[in-house]
Amino acid sequence: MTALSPRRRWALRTLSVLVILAAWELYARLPGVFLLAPPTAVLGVLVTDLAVERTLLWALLSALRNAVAGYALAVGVGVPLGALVALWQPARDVLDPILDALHATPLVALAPVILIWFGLTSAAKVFLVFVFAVFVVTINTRAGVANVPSGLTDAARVFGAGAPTLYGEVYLRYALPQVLTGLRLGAGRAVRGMVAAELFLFADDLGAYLIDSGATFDIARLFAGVASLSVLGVLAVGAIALVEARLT
Amino acid sequence: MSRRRNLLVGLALVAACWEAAGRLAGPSFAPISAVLLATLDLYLSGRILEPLASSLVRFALGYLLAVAVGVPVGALMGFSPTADAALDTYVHVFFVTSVASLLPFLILVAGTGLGFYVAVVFLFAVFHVVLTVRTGVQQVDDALVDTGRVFGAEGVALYRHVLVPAALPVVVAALRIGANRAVKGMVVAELWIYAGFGSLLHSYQRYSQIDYALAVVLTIALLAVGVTQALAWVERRYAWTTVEVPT
Repeated sequence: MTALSPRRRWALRTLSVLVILAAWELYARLPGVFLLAPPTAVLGVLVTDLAVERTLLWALLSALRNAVAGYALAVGVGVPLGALVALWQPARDVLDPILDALHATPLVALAPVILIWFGLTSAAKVFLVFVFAVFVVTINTRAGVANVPSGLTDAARVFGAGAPTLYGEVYLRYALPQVLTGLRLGAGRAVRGMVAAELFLFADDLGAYLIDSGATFDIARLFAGVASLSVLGVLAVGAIALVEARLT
Repeated sequence: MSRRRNLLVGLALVAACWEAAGRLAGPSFAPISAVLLATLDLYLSGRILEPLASSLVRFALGYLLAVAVGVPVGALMGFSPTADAALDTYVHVFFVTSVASLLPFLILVAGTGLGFYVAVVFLFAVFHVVLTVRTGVQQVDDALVDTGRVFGAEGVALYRHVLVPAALPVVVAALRIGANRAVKGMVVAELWIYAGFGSLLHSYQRYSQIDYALAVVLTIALLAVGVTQALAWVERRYAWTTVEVPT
């Protein structure tokens, strides 16, 4: 396929974004259209609620606490579990199908069950985030560790490497990129789990911000919430990608 | 066969631990026997059949729409750098956007009828389909295209004999990934409206019937795994290559 020059590519991209934004703005300002807010109005709400009154900012930060806790838990459980499954054949035979099945399952269906277990606590939200993030971390760690070539580990053993060198140097070094991929994808999942926790368990500030905006037909405010969550997702994944770039 | 034996022994062990934990932890954590009995009751009494049927219709409509839109758009973006440059911003923006956070908006636009479910399922699935197909088509080996040209394939013939067959495995992968996303969308939509599986889950939660709630989750899990595995089987059977896909 003939590639576009980078300049043409960026020109086309910019043009396409401008055209859609302009069309959206014009359409949303037509009389009688009230289910769509113009982009300028969304931007206005974003600036006010993030930088001036900061209601959205505080809502995001307080929800983020649950997300960080759940994510840390998912990493703390997922990485060792993935390594165990990769290194120990019996564990792999048993847990592989279970992990794959749980990875494919819509885990948001557990939200009502989690409410029975934890009640209206932030532990419930942390647990839902954990459940959202843990499987992608586990499965990527498993793949990374299982892919370490036996030639490398055999060579290390021949040269007299003990367990600390073998696991700390050979396995860790070789598996690290894929483990980090798991952590990066897990960060994206954690943000989604955070949103699901706000909407399907019980609403704190962030859930209330989204739901109340919808209930009062304040579409600009609702879109500001959605957009800030997208940006938060990109930032979370980007932060891990930065770590990834430093370490590999 | 030691692998199968390990699996059976392991699953028995997991079930035994679950059973013991469930009995020790008291009424808030159901043992596996209670969950299986509840599942049996849900099917024998027919209480799950109506939600199951209506959920499958919602899933199928949204999923088919996502495939009908996603595959052509993804292919167009893969084949044409111009279309790619024009569309990729939107696809990526929606790919990172949490569709769940759009629920309060979608319900205003689509109401609580069938349109709402179809919209949610569609939005959950379509961007994964687009990105998978696009990535796969872009990965079609240049050497294949050059070989086709050498043998005189140009224009339509190049698509007919080289590009489309080369891209087919990706389409199957996209169907699988999209189906899994669509099941997730279906569950999210139903939980939001308290319909189908969602209404069952919410009502069992209200009375803390953990065994029945877990039985519904089990049915949903089997549905998701079944759909995904069926398409994975098609992929292994008919696709001549596997693809790296975005997640």
